[in-house]
Amino acid sequence: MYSRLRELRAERKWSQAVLGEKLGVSRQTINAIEVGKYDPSLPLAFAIARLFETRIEEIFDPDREAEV
Amino acid sequence: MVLKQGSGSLEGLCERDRLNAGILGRWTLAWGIGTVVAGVLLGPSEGGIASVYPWLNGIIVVPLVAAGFMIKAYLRFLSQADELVRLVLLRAAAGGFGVVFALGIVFYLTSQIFGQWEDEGAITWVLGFITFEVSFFRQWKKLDVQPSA
Repeated sequence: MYSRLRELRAERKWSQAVLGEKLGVSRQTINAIEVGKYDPSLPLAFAIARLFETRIEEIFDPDREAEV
Repeated sequence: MVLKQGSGSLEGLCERDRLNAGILGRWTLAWGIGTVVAGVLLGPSEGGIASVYPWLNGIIVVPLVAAGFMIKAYLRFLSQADELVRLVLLRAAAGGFGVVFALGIVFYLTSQIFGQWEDEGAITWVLGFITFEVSFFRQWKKLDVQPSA
Protein backbone atom coordinates (compact mmCIF):
# COMPACT_ATOMS: atom_id res chain seq x y z
CA MET A 1 0.00 0.00 0.00
CA TYR A 2 1.28 3.47 -0.88
CA SER A 3 1.90 5.86 1.98
CA ARG A 4 3.18 9.41 2.32
CA LEU A 5 4.69 8.59 5.68
CA ARG A 6 8.30 9.08 4.61
CA GLU A 7 7.45 12.41 3.00
CA LEU A 8 5.57 13.66 6.07
CA ARG A 9 8.33 12.46 8.36
CA ALA A 10 11.00 14.14 6.24
CA GLU A 11 9.10 17.44 6.34
CA ARG A 12 9.41 17.39 10.12
CA LYS A 13 13.01 16.09 10.01
CA TRP A 14 12.13 13.15 12.23
CA SER A 15 14.07 9.91 12.04
CA GLN A 16 12.20 6.62 11.86
CA ALA A 17 13.21 5.96 15.46
CA VAL A 18 11.82 9.32 16.63
CA LEU A 19 8.53 8.75 14.80
CA GLY A 20 8.34 5.22 16.19
CA GLU A 21 8.84 6.58 19.69
CA LYS A 22 6.09 9.17 19.22
CA LEU A 23 3.71 6.44 18.03
CA GLY A 24 4.82 3.79 20.53
CA VAL A 25 6.03 1.35 17.87
CA SER A 26 9.44 0.11 16.75
CA ARG A 27 11.63 1.78 14.13
CA GLN A 28 11.20 -1.40 12.08
CA THR A 29 7.42 -0.91 12.02
CA ILE A 30 7.81 2.61 10.61
CA ASN A 31 10.35 1.35 8.10
CA ALA A 32 8.15 -1.56 6.99
CA ILE A 33 5.17 0.78 6.48
CA GLU A 34 7.29 3.24 4.48
CA VAL A 35 8.63 0.59 2.09
CA GLY A 36 5.18 -0.98 1.72
CA LYS A 37 6.06 -4.28 3.38
CA TYR A 38 3.52 -3.87 6.14
CA ASP A 39 0.08 -2.26 6.35
CA PRO A 40 -0.53 -0.62 9.72
CA SER A 41 -3.40 -1.63 11.96
CA LEU A 42 -6.39 0.70 12.09
CA PRO A 43 -5.46 2.14 15.54
CA LEU A 44 -1.92 2.84 14.31
CA ALA A 45 -3.18 4.42 11.08
CA PHE A 46 -5.42 6.70 13.17
CA ALA A 47 -2.53 7.54 15.49
CA ILE A 48 -0.36 8.45 12.48
CA ALA A 49 -3.09 10.63 11.01
CA ARG A 50 -3.63 12.33 14.36
CA LEU A 51 0.10 12.96 14.79
CA PHE A 52 0.39 14.57 11.35
CA GLU A 53 -2.93 16.39 11.82
CA THR A 54 -4.45 15.04 8.66
CA ARG A 55 -6.84 12.33 7.48
CA ILE A 56 -5.91 8.67 6.99
CA GLU A 57 -6.76 8.74 3.28
CA GLU A 58 -4.37 11.64 2.78
CA ILE A 59 -1.52 9.48 4.07
CA PHE A 60 -2.42 6.02 2.80
CA ASP A 61 -3.71 4.95 -0.59
CA PRO A 62 -4.70 1.26 -0.80
CA ASP A 63 -5.19 1.51 -4.57
CA ARG A 64 -1.56 2.43 -5.19
CA GLU A 65 1.58 0.35 -4.82
CA ALA A 66 4.30 1.59 -2.50
CA GLU A 67 7.09 3.50 -4.21
CA VAL A 68 10.40 2.24 -2.86
CA MET B 1 16.10 4.10 -4.33
CA VAL B 2 18.25 1.12 -3.41
CA LEU B 3 17.12 -1.16 -0.62
CA LYS B 4 19.36 -3.24 1.54
CA GLN B 5 18.46 -5.81 4.15
CA GLY B 6 18.73 -4.89 7.81
CA SER B 7 20.96 -6.68 10.25
CA GLY B 8 18.20 -9.01 11.42
CA SER B 9 19.12 -8.38 15.03
CA LEU B 10 16.56 -7.33 17.61
CA GLU B 11 17.97 -3.81 17.53
CA GLY B 12 15.11 -1.33 17.41
CA LEU B 13 12.79 -3.24 19.71
CA CYS B 14 11.17 -1.03 22.30
CA GLU B 15 12.14 -1.48 25.94
CA ARG B 16 8.96 -3.46 26.77
CA ASP B 17 9.49 -5.91 23.89
CA ARG B 18 13.16 -6.32 24.75
CA LEU B 19 12.23 -7.09 28.36
CA ASN B 20 9.54 -9.58 27.33
CA ALA B 21 11.89 -11.22 24.80
CA GLY B 22 14.49 -11.57 27.55
CA ILE B 23 11.99 -13.20 29.92
CA LEU B 24 10.85 -15.58 27.16
CA GLY B 25 14.48 -16.40 26.32
CA ARG B 26 15.31 -17.20 29.95
CA TRP B 27 12.29 -19.50 30.40
CA THR B 28 13.05 -21.19 27.08
CA LEU B 29 16.61 -21.78 28.24
CA ALA B 30 15.32 -23.13 31.58
CA TRP B 31 12.94 -25.44 29.70
CA GLY B 32 15.74 -26.67 27.41
CA ILE B 33 18.16 -27.32 30.27
CA GLY B 34 15.40 -28.91 32.37
CA THR B 35 14.44 -31.20 29.50
CA VAL B 36 18.03 -32.30 28.88
CA VAL B 37 18.74 -32.86 32.61
CA ALA B 38 15.47 -34.76 33.07
CA GLY B 39 16.23 -36.82 29.97
CA VAL B 40 19.67 -37.76 31.26
CA LEU B 41 18.45 -38.57 34.78
CA LEU B 42 15.36 -40.49 33.71
CA GLY B 43 17.36 -42.14 30.95
CA PRO B 44 16.19 -44.44 28.17
CA SER B 45 13.45 -47.02 28.63
CA GLU B 46 15.91 -49.34 30.44
CA GLY B 47 16.25 -46.71 33.16
CA GLY B 48 18.74 -43.96 33.90
CA ILE B 49 20.13 -42.73 37.22
CA ALA B 50 16.53 -42.38 38.45
CA SER B 51 16.12 -46.15 38.30
CA VAL B 52 18.71 -46.34 41.11
CA TYR B 53 17.42 -43.27 43.00
CA PRO B 54 13.62 -43.25 42.48
CA TRP B 55 13.18 -39.87 44.18
CA LEU B 56 14.96 -38.36 41.15
CA ASN B 57 11.80 -39.08 39.11
CA GLY B 58 10.51 -35.80 40.56
CA ILE B 59 12.86 -34.02 38.13
CA ILE B 60 10.12 -34.38 35.50
CA VAL B 61 8.36 -31.45 37.22
CA VAL B 62 11.21 -29.05 36.29
CA PRO B 63 10.73 -28.97 32.47
CA LEU B 64 6.95 -29.05 32.90
CA VAL B 65 6.96 -25.99 35.17
CA ALA B 66 9.49 -24.24 32.91
CA ALA B 67 7.30 -25.02 29.88
CA GLY B 68 4.31 -23.48 31.65
CA PHE B 69 6.22 -20.26 32.37
CA MET B 70 7.64 -20.29 28.83
CA ILE B 71 4.14 -20.40 27.32
CA LYS B 72 2.97 -17.68 29.74
CA ALA B 73 5.97 -15.51 28.75
CA TYR B 74 5.25 -16.08 25.04
CA LEU B 75 1.60 -15.11 25.44
CA ARG B 76 2.53 -11.97 27.39
CA PHE B 77 5.13 -11.07 24.74
CA LEU B 78 2.50 -11.59 22.05
CA SER B 79 -0.18 -9.50 23.77
CA GLN B 80 2.11 -6.57 24.60
CA ALA B 81 4.32 -6.59 21.51
CA ASP B 82 4.71 -3.92 18.90
CA GLU B 83 2.33 -4.83 16.04
CA LEU B 84 5.10 -5.75 13.57
CA VAL B 85 6.82 -7.89 16.20
CA ARG B 86 3.46 -9.58 16.90
CA LEU B 87 3.05 -10.39 13.20
CA VAL B 88 6.57 -11.85 13.09
CA LEU B 89 5.96 -13.88 16.27
CA LEU B 90 2.70 -15.30 14.87
CA ARG B 91 4.31 -16.18 11.52
CA ALA B 92 7.21 -17.86 13.32
CA ALA B 93 4.79 -19.80 15.55
CA ALA B 94 2.83 -20.88 12.46
CA GLY B 95 6.07 -22.11 10.85
CA GLY B 96 7.10 -24.00 13.98
CA PHE B 97 3.66 -25.52 14.42
CA GLY B 98 3.57 -26.50 10.74
CA VAL B 99 6.85 -28.38 11.06
CA VAL B 100 5.70 -30.18 14.24
CA PHE B 101 2.41 -31.08 12.57
CA ALA B 102 3.99 -32.30 9.31
CA LEU B 103 6.78 -34.24 11.01
CA GLY B 104 4.27 -35.71 13.47
CA ILE B 105 2.33 -37.19 10.58
CA VAL B 106 5.48 -38.33 8.76
CA PHE B 107 6.89 -40.02 11.89
CA TYR B 108 3.54 -41.62 12.66
CA LEU B 109 3.27 -43.07 9.15
CA THR B 110 6.89 -44.23 9.01
CA SER B 111 6.58 -45.83 12.45
CA GLN B 112 3.50 -47.69 11.22
CA ILE B 113 5.42 -48.93 8.19
CA PHE B 114 8.93 -49.47 9.56
CA GLY B 115 8.25 -49.88 13.28
CA GLN B 116 8.60 -47.55 16.26
CA TRP B 117 11.40 -45.00 16.32
CA GLU B 118 12.09 -44.13 19.94
CA ASP B 119 13.24 -40.49 19.60
CA GLU B 120 10.66 -39.30 17.07
CA GLY B 121 8.79 -37.08 19.54
CA ALA B 122 11.91 -35.25 20.74
CA ILE B 123 13.19 -34.69 17.19
CA THR B 124 9.82 -33.32 16.09
CA TRP B 125 9.74 -30.76 18.90
CA VAL B 126 13.37 -29.76 18.53
CA LEU B 127 12.93 -29.19 14.77
CA GLY B 128 9.70 -27.27 15.40
CA PHE B 129 11.48 -25.07 17.90
CA ILE B 130 14.43 -24.45 15.56
CA THR B 131 11.98 -23.55 12.79
CA PHE B 132 10.31 -21.03 15.10
CA GLU B 133 13.65 -19.37 15.90
CA VAL B 134 14.86 -19.34 12.28
CA SER B 135 11.48 -18.05 11.02
CA PHE B 136 11.47 -15.26 13.58
CA PHE B 137 14.91 -13.91 12.64
CA ARG B 138 14.33 -14.47 8.93
CA GLN B 139 11.01 -12.57 8.98
CA TRP B 140 12.48 -9.82 11.11
CA LYS B 141 15.40 -9.41 8.71
CA LYS B 142 13.10 -9.50 5.68
CA LEU B 143 10.85 -6.77 7.04
CA ASP B 144 13.70 -4.57 8.19
CA VAL B 145 14.59 -3.21 4.77
CA GLN B 146 16.65 -0.06 4.98
CA PRO B 147 16.28 2.66 2.36
CA SER B 148 19.77 3.80 1.42
CA ALA B 149 18.84 6.90 -0.55
